[in-house]
Amino acid sequence: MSDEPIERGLWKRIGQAFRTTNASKYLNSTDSEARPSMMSKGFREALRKDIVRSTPWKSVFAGPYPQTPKDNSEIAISSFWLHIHPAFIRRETLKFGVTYGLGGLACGLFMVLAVTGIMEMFYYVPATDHAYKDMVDLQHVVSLGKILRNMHRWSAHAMVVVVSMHMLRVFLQKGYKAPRQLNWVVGVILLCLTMGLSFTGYLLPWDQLALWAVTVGTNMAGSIPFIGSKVRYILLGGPNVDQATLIRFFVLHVVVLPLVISLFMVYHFWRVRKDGFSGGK
Amino acid sequence: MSQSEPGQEELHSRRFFLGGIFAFLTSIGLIALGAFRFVVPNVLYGKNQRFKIGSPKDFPDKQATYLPEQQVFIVRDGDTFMALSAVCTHLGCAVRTDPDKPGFFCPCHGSRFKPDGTNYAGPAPKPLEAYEISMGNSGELIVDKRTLISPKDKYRI
Repeated sequence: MSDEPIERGLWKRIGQAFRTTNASKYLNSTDSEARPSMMSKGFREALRKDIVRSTPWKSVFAGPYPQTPKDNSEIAISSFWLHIHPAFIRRETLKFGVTYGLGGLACGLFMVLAVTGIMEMFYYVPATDHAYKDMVDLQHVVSLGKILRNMHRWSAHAMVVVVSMHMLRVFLQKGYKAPRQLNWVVGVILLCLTMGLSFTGYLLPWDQLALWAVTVGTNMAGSIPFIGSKVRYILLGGPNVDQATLIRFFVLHVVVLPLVISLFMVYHFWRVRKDGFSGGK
Repeated sequence: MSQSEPGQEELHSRRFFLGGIFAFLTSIGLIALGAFRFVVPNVLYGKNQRFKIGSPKDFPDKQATYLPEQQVFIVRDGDTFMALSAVCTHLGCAVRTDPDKPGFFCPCHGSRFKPDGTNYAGPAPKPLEAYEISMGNSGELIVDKRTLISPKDKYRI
């Protein structure tokens, strides 16, 4: 079998592999020579080369495996998934104590919140006669629902804390100074959006805490001079916290704010790369 | 610009550019305005703001009776009646009858009100709102939440 000429081309090779595999022969024989030819070293090497030369592979991995530092940096620049890292970076700026990884942590928490939030939506109905029961069911009836809801809850609390700490870290390191003024402003917008997500999510359990917290919160918005009562009316969708408020907060919490914060996050990260590292100056 | 492309001159002109910018900003502005108007509700399906509360004799004397559906306290003192809003004037929580002394207490931030609705402790800046009371043909009291009255104006039967 091993003398059969190795065919060219990936698809032909796979077909050959199927043809030459003789399972019964392989299982019954103790003779290593009886192994199918697809296991031979030459065949494996040829198959590897075919895969690496195939169009799907080349469309994912643009170049050959990097051999030199120059190759490495070229890949970091051209790859979508790696371009978030700069091609060159000072060793000191990679120390944990420089950033404490707080920005990345906030981003990670956002991803946890997105996934757990979407999973919660499989059971949660934003209606005044449903919401509280669905939230309780999620905790006591749904398999793993309790850990899911608590992941969402604690990640939400943690995100507010981590985003605040990230801001404090940037402030203490004077990271808001030139040329990063714009990214500081984007960061403040992200902080406000995080607060907005936190506040809109607060109403969704539809318990007493949620109801009165949102009553109090929107009354604060109502104390803005001149436009306050209008702002409150639009936020609540009426004079009191009611069904109109629940669906408004739900839509803001699960669609509008996550979309907007994602766009600002992407810009924030791109801006970090564009502004560059100070190198601890 | 070459003679063979007569349209290019027009397309690259300042007038055309400004016109395009103006048209773009106007449409964005109109869409924003429409979106803003869209989120303001036109119809509210709420409870009737003017409602019957029952015969005067149904209310115990020297007490505040809470009507949870309407968030209203009916305060009776002999022949006089008051309809006080249960919405705290601080940040809108529902007040309850004070467990310690006569009057009302807000559980959110500790505001206190006298039985006539006057604020005397905590952060509440104003007395509780008082609503107009009238008597219907059947001898039942009617509260109208749309009409605010001075807390000094009590309804005497």
